[in-house]
Amino acid sequence: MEYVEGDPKFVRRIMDAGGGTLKKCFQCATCSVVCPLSPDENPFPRKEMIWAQWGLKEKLMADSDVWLCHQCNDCSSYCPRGAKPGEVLGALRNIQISQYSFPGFLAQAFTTPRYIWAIYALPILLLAAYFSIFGFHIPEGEVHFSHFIPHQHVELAGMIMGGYIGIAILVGLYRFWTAMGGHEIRAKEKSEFVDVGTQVKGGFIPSLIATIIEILTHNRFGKCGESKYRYFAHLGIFYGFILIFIGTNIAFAYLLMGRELNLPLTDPAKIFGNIGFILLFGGASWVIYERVVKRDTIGIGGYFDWLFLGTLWLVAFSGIVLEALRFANSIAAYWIYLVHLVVVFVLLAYAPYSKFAHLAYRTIAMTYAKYSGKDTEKTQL
Amino acid sequence: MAEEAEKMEVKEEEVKEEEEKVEPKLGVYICTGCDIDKLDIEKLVTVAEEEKAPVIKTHPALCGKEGVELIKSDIANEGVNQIAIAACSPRVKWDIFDFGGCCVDRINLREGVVWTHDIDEHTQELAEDLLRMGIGKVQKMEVPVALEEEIDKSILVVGGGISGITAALAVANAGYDVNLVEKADSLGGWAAKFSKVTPQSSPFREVEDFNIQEKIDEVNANPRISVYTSSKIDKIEGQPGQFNVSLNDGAVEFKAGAIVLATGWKPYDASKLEELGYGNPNVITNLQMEEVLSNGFKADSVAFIQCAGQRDENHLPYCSSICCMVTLKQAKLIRQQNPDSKVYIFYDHMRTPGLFEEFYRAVQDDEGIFLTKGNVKKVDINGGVVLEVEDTLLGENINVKVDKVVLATGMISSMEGVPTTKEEQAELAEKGIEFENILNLDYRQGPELPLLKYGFPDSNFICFPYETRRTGIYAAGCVRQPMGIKASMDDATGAALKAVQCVELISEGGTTFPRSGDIDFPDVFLQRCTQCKRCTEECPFGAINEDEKGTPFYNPMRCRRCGTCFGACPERIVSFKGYSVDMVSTMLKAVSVPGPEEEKPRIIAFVCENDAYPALDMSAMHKLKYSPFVRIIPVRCLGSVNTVFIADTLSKGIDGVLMLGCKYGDDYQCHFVRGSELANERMGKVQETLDRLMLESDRVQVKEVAITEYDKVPEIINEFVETIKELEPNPYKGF
Repeated sequence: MEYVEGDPKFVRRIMDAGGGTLKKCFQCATCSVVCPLSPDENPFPRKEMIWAQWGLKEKLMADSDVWLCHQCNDCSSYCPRGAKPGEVLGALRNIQISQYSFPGFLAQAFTTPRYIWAIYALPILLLAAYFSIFGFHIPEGEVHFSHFIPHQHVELAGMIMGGYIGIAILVGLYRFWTAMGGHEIRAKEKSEFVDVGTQVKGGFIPSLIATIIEILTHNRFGKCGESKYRYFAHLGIFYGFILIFIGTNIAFAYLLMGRELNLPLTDPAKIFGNIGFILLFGGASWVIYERVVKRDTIGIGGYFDWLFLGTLWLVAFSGIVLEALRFANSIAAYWIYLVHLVVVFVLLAYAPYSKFAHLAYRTIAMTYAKYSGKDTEKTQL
Repeated sequence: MAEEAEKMEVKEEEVKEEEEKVEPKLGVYICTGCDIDKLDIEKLVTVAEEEKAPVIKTHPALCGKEGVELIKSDIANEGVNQIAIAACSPRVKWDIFDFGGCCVDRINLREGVVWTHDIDEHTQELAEDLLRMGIGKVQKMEVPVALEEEIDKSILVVGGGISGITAALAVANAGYDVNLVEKADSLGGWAAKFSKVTPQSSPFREVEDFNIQEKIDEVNANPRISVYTSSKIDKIEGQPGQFNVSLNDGAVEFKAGAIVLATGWKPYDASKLEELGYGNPNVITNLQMEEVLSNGFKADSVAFIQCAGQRDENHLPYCSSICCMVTLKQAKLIRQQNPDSKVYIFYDHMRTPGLFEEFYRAVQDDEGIFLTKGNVKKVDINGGVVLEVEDTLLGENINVKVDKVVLATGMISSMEGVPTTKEEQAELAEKGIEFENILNLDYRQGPELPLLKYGFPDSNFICFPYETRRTGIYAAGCVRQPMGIKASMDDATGAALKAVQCVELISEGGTTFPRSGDIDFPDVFLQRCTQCKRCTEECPFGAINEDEKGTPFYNPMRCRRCGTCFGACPERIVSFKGYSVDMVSTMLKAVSVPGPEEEKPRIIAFVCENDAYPALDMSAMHKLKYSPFVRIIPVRCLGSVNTVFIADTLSKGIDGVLMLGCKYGDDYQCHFVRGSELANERMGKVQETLDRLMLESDRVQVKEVAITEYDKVPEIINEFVETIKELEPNPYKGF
């Protein structure tokens, strides 16, 4: 016989991860009713709330529904008990990330505030090691970052980092997929409702395509009632990254072509990059502002959220300052460049353990929901 | 008993003699203010003249200083002592029109006529009829004289638990003596057995200590309180103000003015809960858990099953209202005693009324307490305790393994199973079942307070707080409804106040709620009594005992002046000074009945003064209109409407009789408990009358009206008038 057993320690863990209000829930299900994204069958977040109150770790860690939530926080603002289900689901997502990411001890560091020094110490040490090998000197004259640190070095480090991130994330996703029971889905259970505008139905790949379309269009986010801002802010951050990515790749191409990279503002790489940074900065600032102002109704989030959000904002902010200083031809630009490298490292190198990983986990969970037939909503282009 | 009856009669004669010395003189005062002058006042004066009133006056504002002085000077100078005031409703300005030593009747021309009718010929006729009726009525009234009896103002409190202790202290602190009787050998009751209690004070979030010993010491130190522990009541005889109480086989005797019944509760018999595993040492009741907790408790996991044997037709059908709080308290205590423990609570509904919701919130916050709605299907006690729970909020049926299971069992009134009538006592004795009575009242109607549903004594808390069907006896605490400590203390304080109020009212010859302070007790002309026992059987308050032959014996201090006996008596030998058969007959005679050709139906409405009459006054304030063919006669209670009145009315040619009374049944609103119910029962006899007169049964109807239904009363009246209009006119017109 299988027994259900409450686990106070896991309850505490969710509370510490940003779900501090979860015990206040009295299971009225207002949250599931007001949620614009919750399905009719087995809706969230009511069931996740009681699982969380009982500390039912196994159920919660295998639950893909927490990723269908886009934290509009309609639930939190309508909750009659102040239990903030939106925050609790956010905390559960955080715990899933640290549960599955590889290697586990690094994930631990990201949920424990007292290790924040170590997180920032690593890139600083790496820089120190780099300068001890290649020598440290501030170049004179017109600001050229490549005179300070050659772009080839930065690109190489980026590629090593990218490879690592890819492997770590894939391991995490594989673990998550297994926990959700992704391998056990039999053919007859597979969704036949996925419609991506073509006749393609069922299967992993169509489900993944449908998910990516959904992410690109943000059409789930668009359904949010209470926090419409999140749709626009997230859209800004998301496309900001994409534009920066495009800009970076153009720059990389220039590099391969052997071009000097002190590009003018009119260069396509700069145009993409700058618009991207403005979107990133605007989006991140907006989210921070709303979280602080609406902390009582929708909740301010936890350490895990702020570590990511704060770093993101610093990347955008330092990037903009950096460029301004560069065009102003100030020596300070080099110092800010160092800061920028550190925060970019923190943002990207730790992506498998930070909230940044939601990009991957949400994609795979949404794909799972479609693949398994849980999410029967049609995706439209 | 016979001796006392004799004494009473002597007194009545004395009173009569005294009254005969005063020459009756009628004064009619017509107010013309508040729109009453829309009526033809001169014609009204003519009516009064026809009735041979020696003093007739009109005034534009009778309730003003000048108007009142006018009446007062007529009393002083003209010797007026029967005062008919044709002005506003008797429910307003009664303090202004109170002329001690005189009979006063208020003829309701304002609310009853001008505010509820369009002014026309019919309305004028209505006003004239009402005036004639009032003049007739006041001439048949007599000034009541208060009974002067030796009264004992001490209060008997039965039960020494938290309710009894609180009541005793409240009474003693108000300056009255108390006899506190407890069957156990010490005071304290259940509350003394609980080491910690649910929150008693703001912010209602923490389990608290409860020091009942402090209160027990206070009781013992109070010189006004005499405590009798290990005691039982043999007998209580008499009436409020004069109860004779005998304890412990006559070893102790004392008097009491009023009684607070606070005998509390007993637990539901958990042995009936075998299906929940009761009987296994690891399955205990919440009450046993109290004991376990006070001895220090260590268990790794405990499951609470709420509503165990409650809200279940096979067990207790009701909610004991406190078990949810007790469970939350015990869960908290378990967690405090062992921070690593896990507590599961399976409920049907969490019921944490009022501020206890704060306690629920506080306990919920504990991460080691797991709650879910769920239906515990089975408690498997073979090898560890395993609960099978269905319909949980977890979305599936679950099995939970625990060390201990606590059943949240409910409360039963201590009155449950106690025989309340002599018949029940005899039945139990016959079956050889042992029983024990609590109050042992020496009443014809039985030894205890009558019970309502589920074995709780009557106390219609919404309309009549603490009042029971036995005047001067007030039920408080869990004996009358399951409740917690705090609620019991509030309840006991209220009941104590009512007991004190009772002895004070009785000492002035008055009665208690709802005719509080009324000194007019029933006068019975026993020579004509046929010993039919209707009065003794129908009296809702058990005020009338009877001798072996069945002759009624009135206990005036038990009487609530409802007039149910007056309504019941086929010989019409019961009357009050201010409310008599003769008086009602006179009023009926005063109604003019036009001939059948005039198409002016006439209808009499007997309207209960407690709910229906105020509802009518309220509809007048809302300017709702009703038919002018209806003449309203206010009555103390529908129980006081003698069927003879109906026969009189119909044989006079009046077309219909409408009776407006309170709601009756389990959730009765009748201020005299059974009045409107009895009126309905008596309709059978009315039917006989109708058959004899060969009249349609629709001509007499009883309707229930709640005080809030002011918008419906005019409709009810108008509908009835329409029914009557559809019938032929009463063939007895003109006889």
